[in-house]
Amino acid sequence: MDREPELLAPDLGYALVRDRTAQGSVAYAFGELDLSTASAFESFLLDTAAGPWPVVAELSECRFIDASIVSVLIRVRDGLGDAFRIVAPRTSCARRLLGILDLIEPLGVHETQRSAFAGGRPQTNVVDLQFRPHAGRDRRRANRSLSPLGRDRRAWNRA
Amino acid sequence: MLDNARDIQSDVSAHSHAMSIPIGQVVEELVDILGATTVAVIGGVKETRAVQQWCQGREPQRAHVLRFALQLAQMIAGSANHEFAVAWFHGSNPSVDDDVPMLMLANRPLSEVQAPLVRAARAFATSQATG
Repeated sequence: MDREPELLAPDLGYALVRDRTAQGSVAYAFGELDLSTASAFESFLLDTAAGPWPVVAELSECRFIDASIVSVLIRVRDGLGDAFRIVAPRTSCARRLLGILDLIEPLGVHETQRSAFAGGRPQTNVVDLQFRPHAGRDRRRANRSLSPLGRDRRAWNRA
Repeated sequence: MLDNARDIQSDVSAHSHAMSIPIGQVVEELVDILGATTVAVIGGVKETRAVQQWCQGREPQRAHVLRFALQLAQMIAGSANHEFAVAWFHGSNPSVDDDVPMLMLANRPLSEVQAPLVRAARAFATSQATG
């Protein structure tokens, strides 16, 4: 017999929901995640990993994340490896922070769920480069190493 | 005056509809408008699987919240489209002190959020109707 659905812990600022599909598991996070919710978020991600892989953390609707949440993402990525992916579109708060910290590629941050499930290389884009602390110094190296968007940027620079 | 009368009519019909259909149908209509993930948040559960179970006859623990959410969704989707309704539920809303309606429904007692959310939905529907 199915268990009664687990109720969310009452909290004003956030909500977590998981969706298990044939493609894998998606952990949706809504609202604001910070030090006070990091532990619950980590447990939620690890519980989600008990379902089908890959596991995708969908952060598109997160209005705020702080360094403690980044730590959680790094720990879970360390534990699950490439099977753990993150979705944060370029307009999202999460992508900005991860871009500043130069974690787009190391953490496997994708623009869309489709891209995340496809499992290709995450695309670093112009916005990410603008937020990189060493963007000026590393620009040539970044342009050489990155995605089609990186090549577009080179063409744009030449023009 | 005519617009006002039409708004009240729309409020009443959204309320009547949400309160008079079986809860399984309430959930199905909400999923159709907002998607299963948002319905799971509003229903206060961590799994979209629970939403599927509600559609198949299991009684949700917060049925009254889901009925109220359908009332709001119909007020909004009636004057705009489903995409706007999703944006309204997910977005920070100045009419309710910049809170997010979806999270208010998920995390606070219904009695506390009912009146401000109806006022906010009514204001949105009116602004859409008057262009």
